[in-house]
Amino acid sequence: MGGRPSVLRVVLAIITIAALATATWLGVVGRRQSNRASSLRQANAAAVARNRALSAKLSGLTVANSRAQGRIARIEDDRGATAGGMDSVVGAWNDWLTANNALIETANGFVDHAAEPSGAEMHAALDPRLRTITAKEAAFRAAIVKFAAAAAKARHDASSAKP
Amino acid sequence: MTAEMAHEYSVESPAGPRVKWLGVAVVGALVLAIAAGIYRHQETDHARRAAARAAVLDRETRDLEMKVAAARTKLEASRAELRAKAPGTAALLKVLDQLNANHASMSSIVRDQDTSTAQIIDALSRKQYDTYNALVDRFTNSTRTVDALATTETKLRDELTRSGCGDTCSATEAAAVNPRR
Repeated sequence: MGGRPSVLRVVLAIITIAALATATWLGVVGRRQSNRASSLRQANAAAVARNRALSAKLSGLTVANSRAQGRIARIEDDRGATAGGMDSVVGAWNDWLTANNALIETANGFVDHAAEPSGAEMHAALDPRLRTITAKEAAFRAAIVKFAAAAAKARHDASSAKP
Repeated sequence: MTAEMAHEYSVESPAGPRVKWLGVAVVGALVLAIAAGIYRHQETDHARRAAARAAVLDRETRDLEMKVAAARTKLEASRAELRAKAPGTAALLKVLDQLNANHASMSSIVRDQDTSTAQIIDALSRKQYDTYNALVDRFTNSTRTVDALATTETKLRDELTRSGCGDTCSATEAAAVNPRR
């Protein structure tokens, strides 16, 4: 009976030492992992902040680019609008001119006529032409107003389109 | 073994309490080892998750950096395009001024001619042929102004087209320099 307790003591002591050594090793490894996780978390927080700043910068650049493209498109649109307005002016001008010439030709026809026409007859022939001229004049003035508005818009857009 | 015998044994053998304490130490050491194992496992898991998140964030950063570089290039291109349009825009504004002046003259001539036509009809219906002839002469003279204004308008239209194409439309410019016959 004298040797049994001492063998048990040795075995128990070995187990205790082994368990303590394992616990120490696991603790050290765990601590290292904890430190690594901590530094990674810090780096991740910095990366998140950096990504947020990059996103804000990207957003700003995109907005600025959209604004620049919008200005370019507006300049082109304005040019198209003024050119279109000018065509309308020229068209209205030519219509007015045609109506004027028609009236003068009709009037000259009366002058060249051998028989002297009555005033009523002349009015009946010329008044519609005069009304046409008045209508054409109104169309011409409307085209002028439209062109002036397009020109004013083009001027405004051009002055605000500094790069 | 009865209780008395056990009591007698424990009193007699000093190894008994040591074995008991060693048993407690073994159990304690094992519990400590298990706890350390759990701790290690958890921290390894945290570190692994943090590393995975770091990889994702790194990809995001690189992606964002590329997008920012591309957006900056685009913006610079847009600004360059805008700057390139500046001379054309200045030319356009100049042409617009000239056109507005021309249109004011056109409006004036329209007003004058319309007054003349009304007077012409009136003179004709009253058989005042001298007045009629004088008015028609004036009308004819004004027609020359009308023609001049129309010519200016055409010239300005060409300039307007030219201001839109900048350096890229030499054909248009050549057409403007050598007017059609």
